[in-house]
Amino acid sequence: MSDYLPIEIQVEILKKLPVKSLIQCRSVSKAWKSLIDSSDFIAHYSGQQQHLLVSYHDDFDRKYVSVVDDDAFPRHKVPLTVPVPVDMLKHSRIIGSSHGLLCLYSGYGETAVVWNISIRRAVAVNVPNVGDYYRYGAVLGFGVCGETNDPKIVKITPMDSTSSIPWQIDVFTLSIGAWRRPYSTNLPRKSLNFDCSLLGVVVDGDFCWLATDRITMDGERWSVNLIISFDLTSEEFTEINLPDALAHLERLHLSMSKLRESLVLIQGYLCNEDVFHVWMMEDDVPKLFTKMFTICIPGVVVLGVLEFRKSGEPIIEILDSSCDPYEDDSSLVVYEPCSKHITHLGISGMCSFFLSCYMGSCLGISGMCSFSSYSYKETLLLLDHPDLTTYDI
Amino acid sequence: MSYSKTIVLTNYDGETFVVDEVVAVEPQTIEHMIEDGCANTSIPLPNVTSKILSKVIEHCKKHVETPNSNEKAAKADLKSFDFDFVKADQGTLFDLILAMNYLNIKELLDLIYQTVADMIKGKTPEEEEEMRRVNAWVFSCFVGVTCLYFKSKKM
Repeated sequence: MSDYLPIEIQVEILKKLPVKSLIQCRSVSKAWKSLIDSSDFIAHYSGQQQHLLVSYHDDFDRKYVSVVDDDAFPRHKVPLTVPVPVDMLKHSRIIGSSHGLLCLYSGYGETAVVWNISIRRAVAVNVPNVGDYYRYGAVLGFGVCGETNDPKIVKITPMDSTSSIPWQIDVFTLSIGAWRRPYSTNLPRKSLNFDCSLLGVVVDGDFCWLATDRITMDGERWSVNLIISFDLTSEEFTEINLPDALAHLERLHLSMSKLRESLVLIQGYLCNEDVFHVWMMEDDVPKLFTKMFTICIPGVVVLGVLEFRKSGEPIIEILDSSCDPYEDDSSLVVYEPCSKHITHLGISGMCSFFLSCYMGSCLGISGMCSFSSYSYKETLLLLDHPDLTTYDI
Repeated sequence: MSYSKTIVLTNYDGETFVVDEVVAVEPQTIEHMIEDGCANTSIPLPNVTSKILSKVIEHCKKHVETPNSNEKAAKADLKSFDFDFVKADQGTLFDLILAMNYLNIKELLDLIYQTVADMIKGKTPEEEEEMRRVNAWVFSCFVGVTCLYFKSKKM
């Protein structure tokens, strides 16, 4: 009896393995190879272990380190080998991360690269006519459809006043390998202004951007912050209103993140005091954001809140103490909200104050950071795509 | 604790096991049989040997008897019980998988799958050699990994 296990049980056991073992198991037998390579297995596999990807600049090169988010955190650190398409991107910026994939874009060569961090595979996608930060350019987003597990890149281009629609929406679907224009009934309003310098966040199958709306009230012009979400399955837009305390803030004092599939907003006043407030959206109810905790470490300059551990503790970037803030290094730490204790991750980079000016990003509260960080689980997505594939228009 | 009813289980070897109904309905397959009225005399479980069936009953008993509270001690106790439960040799483990799969006991299945996966993950070639003799199924995997190992050594 013990020398035979039904295929469905074998699948369940294989699903419990990390990606590295699965890749080895592909060499075991033809049966296992075709099982692991099947689109069904690829789409439904998700690693058990949570990881934290840290990206930072070191001598103007972008470096990547993966840290296992387990009890021994941050002991298990692995520097990642960057696949060729990612390496070839010049002055890239990260558009988003979803399902263990990272999407980067570079205006030089108008290319986006979708990279599976766990299996070192990446595909390049030609994204024309994006423009840059300073011109009124297109806005990009990236995420994996929760239903089909299909990676998608979305591009929102502002149209001029002669056009009948406020925005042109283009969606690239990896399974089709082509761009198309979905029919959207509820396009974002014309008066909206997306913030391209800020990373979007994928929450529960929706890609979210922070945006501002210009409204006139009692003869005065106001800016109102809000979130625009794009459902990666239905390809429809939704506006998420913020509570008053966040809606009327100076735009640069806000950044976005997520914690256990809930949207998180971070409010900070870098110039005045090093205090960051972390707000979480409750049960997907718009406007219902609760302040979870405040980050305040006496004597430490906090540059930004980047990501959250599985346990909910924030990963923050702090300035290494020195008199001259312009020639300084920064490092990543985990902050324990109750005890206000910090633990160093052991990763340091150049302080980005000058760097981010050089890279052309706006100096919002997240613009001060030289690190970026994403929680992810291992995935096999892209395994069925030949390496070095490029999708041209 | 008093149970209202007992159920008779007949296994592969024709042996019978008398268990309380509360314990017997832990496996979904048996619960459905009772619901459908197929359990008047005894429930035949032709796929399960007596060694495995007594282990399964032991597991169900433990899970029924442990108070269903959020008490930390009880939870930890159950966890350590499950942990010891899956510390079986390969053959028993695989028989357990088949039995649990047949009887549809989901939570334990998950744990056993993880146990087998950990076996596949953490093997050195020497350990694989040992394992290969014991079991034929995981064996196919270790052959593969061993081949890889020797290939990389030759290069």
